[in-house]
Amino acid sequence: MLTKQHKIAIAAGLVVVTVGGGWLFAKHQANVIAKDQIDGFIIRHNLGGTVAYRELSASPFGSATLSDVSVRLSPATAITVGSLSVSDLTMKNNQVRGFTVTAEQAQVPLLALAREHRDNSFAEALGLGYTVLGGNITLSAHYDDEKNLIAIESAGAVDDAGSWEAKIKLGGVSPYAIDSLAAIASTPPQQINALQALGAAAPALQTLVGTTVAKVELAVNVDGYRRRDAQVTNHDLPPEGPSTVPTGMTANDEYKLVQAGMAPSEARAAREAVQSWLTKGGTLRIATNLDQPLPIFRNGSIMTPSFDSFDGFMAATKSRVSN
Amino acid sequence: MTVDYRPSRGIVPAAICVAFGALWLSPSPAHADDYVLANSKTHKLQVLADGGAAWCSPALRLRMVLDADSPDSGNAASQMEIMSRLKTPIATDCKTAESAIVSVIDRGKTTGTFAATAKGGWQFAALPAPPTVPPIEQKADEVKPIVPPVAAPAPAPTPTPTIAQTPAQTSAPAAPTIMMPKEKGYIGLLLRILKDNPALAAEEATIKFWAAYKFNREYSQVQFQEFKLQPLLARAKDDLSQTISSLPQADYERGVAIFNTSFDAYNFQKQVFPITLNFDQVTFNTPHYIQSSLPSTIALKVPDLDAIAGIPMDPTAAQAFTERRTRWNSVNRSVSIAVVIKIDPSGFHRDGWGYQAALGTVESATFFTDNELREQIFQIGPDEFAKWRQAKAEEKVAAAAAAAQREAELRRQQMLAMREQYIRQIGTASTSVKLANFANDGPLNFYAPLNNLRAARAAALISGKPVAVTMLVQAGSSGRSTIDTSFPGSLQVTVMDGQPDLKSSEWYLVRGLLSVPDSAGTLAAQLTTQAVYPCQQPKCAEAQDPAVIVDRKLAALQGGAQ
Repeated sequence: MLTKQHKIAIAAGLVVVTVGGGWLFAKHQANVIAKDQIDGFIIRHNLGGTVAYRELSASPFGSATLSDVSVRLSPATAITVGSLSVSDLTMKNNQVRGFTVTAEQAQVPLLALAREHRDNSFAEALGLGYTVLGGNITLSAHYDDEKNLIAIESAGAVDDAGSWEAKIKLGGVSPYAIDSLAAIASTPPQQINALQALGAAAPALQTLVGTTVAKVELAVNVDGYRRRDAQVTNHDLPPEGPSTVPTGMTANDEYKLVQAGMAPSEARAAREAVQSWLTKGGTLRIATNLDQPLPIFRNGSIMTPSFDSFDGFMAATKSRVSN
Repeated sequence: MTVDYRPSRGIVPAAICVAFGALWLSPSPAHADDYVLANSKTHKLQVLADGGAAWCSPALRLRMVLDADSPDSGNAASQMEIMSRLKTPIATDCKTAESAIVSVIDRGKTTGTFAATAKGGWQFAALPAPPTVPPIEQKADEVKPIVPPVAAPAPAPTPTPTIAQTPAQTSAPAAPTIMMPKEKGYIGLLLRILKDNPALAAEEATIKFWAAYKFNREYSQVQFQEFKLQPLLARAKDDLSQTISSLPQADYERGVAIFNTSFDAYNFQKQVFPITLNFDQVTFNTPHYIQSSLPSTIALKVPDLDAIAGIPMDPTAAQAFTERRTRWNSVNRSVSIAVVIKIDPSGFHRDGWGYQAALGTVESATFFTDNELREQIFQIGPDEFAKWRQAKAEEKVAAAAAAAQREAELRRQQMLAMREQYIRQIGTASTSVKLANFANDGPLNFYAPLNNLRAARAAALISGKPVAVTMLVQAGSSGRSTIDTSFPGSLQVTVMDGQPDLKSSEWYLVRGLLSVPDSAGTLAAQLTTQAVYPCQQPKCAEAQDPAVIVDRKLAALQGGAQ
């Protein structure tokens, strides 16, 4: 005779087995679907000889991770990514409305590229010892159809160079513009007709007239780069006199900010923060401080932007610069 | 002395008999084609003329053949005296004779050569024995082409030596051992290509070519009759395979070019008949054009053909040589030269439908009087060419040094003339440019500054090898090996032998090679110096003086010009 406890235990066991099995089955199905999607994308975009990955892992909740991804730039050189994951994928009407892409242990072989192409474009970085750029990067974009709000976020770090964070929220972005961009992005390059794309983009551009800046936050740290910059000089002669500190913002720059509409105290704080960042290192932060979203364009025309310079943007968005 | 002067036919004139004392008639032991000019039992010798009954010619070819027990054996003076006594029969019986060369043959070997001319009263004189190695007169700025001396003209055309036999000439220097490939011209080189490319050798078109070349008459007859053609192609295939496998490796390493050319008028000063081979590439054309993958031409690039520059002879021999080749008052100046060319090991490389010209060097040259390569004049062997090449290389070095010296002196003169202007100009340059000019050899450069560490690191990394730099450094410690620098930092300096030690905190202008390890993230760099200038003042302030810079350049040029 089974006791009540036994019955509960058996029932619980059945539930665990059923849920566990269901999860495994769902995960298997998710892997199959994701693999179809990714391999199909690679084939349709003629990337078979360029993009390769070792393993795919997908979850039933819409995320997928590729391991040991390589993007071959030539027979001898490739950008490699230890782990590339896509998550937070949201769709509407078969169109992407949001995603987060994270690349970890990415490596860009700068020296191999420079040698292969006899290219001096990377000379500055190579001179500082960045023969391979390694790091992580995350990029996400999400669109809210109801509020016409798009949020873009990016963060990343380059080994022994620096890191960044960026958050941008824009309002007044019409679904039509998003659909147009998504359609262009999902079309294989060989199928893109330039005239058609231009025709599709023109109305979408017109819809950007109502776009507003809701929030912008930027944070940059280049301590690693600065350290190497000090170690490997790019001067052929020693500096004359005491070591000079680069001037990030001059008094004139501060004056321009005030002229553009920023409060004098804010302008002074910005100059001090920039100077501190240049001399002591650390992080430089720039954040808007808007009560209301700020239209990017005035008078309903993309020909009349609300600001035409960085100073103008800082003043118009009441941005604060800090460390 | 009793010498029997005996024409092969007719009666001996009494006067001649008196002149020569006891004379007698005797059957000639000589060859049927020889004319017995004289026969002496006393001296135990015969004097024979080439040509039999037609022995008389403007340039006589004579032989004095001594018996083994001849009392004149080894006595050149008595041999010449005997020959001089023959002036009367020569002048009487052969009025057209203008010169005569006589070879003395003692126990089957040529032991001497005498020559005489009608103008000289038929007084025979010995010709000098040819040296075995041609002298190469070495001047500071000139390498003489190879012209092995020949003291006497080649023997009469009666013997017809072949290239393969390369017989020693009776009067020419001992012939060197010369490797002469069996197959010559286009075919020889084609076999080399086919040996390296069996697939090409197996192609039907190649077999057809070989059939056309080797069995030309049969091929012409059956080339459009497929049932008769097939057996011939099978035979040609076997023959080609057999030919390729049977040739020695040495043949594949060489090509043979036959040049039919002519020699110029005799150069009395240099005692040579000049020949000009004024080209450095030899192109061989296919003897049979068959549509195939075979190249229609095969070329060899031979930069040292100009080593073959003439046929040397002393004047007497040269005169006899030309007279022998004179018909109707015109000298036949044609000669053929078989040149063996050693092919560079890199061989032939495909270039579109054909092959790039392979590099080659002349190994030997054999001169012939005729196109059929039967009558050989003389040879130039590998040793002579090797010596010529060495002399030429030495000449190049000497010429380059002399040119550099002249250039340095010219630059010094120009710089001296413009000293004041240069001082003003360099005075307006940046400090970095001034120091770079002070540290570097060569002319003033108003645009080249010192190298900075970061750019030099990048250049070394991208090129994958050390790069030449000129830098201002401050030593971080003392010593010679892997010395850290206070400036520019992240750089270690190693000074080479003969250069001063580095002292801590001292400044130096250095030239050298900067290298950077490939490993990611490494900031170390190594500089191995080629020249070190210890600065007298901090940051080499004294080396920034424009007059000092210009005068230093002038002094360097003065040194280079000496």
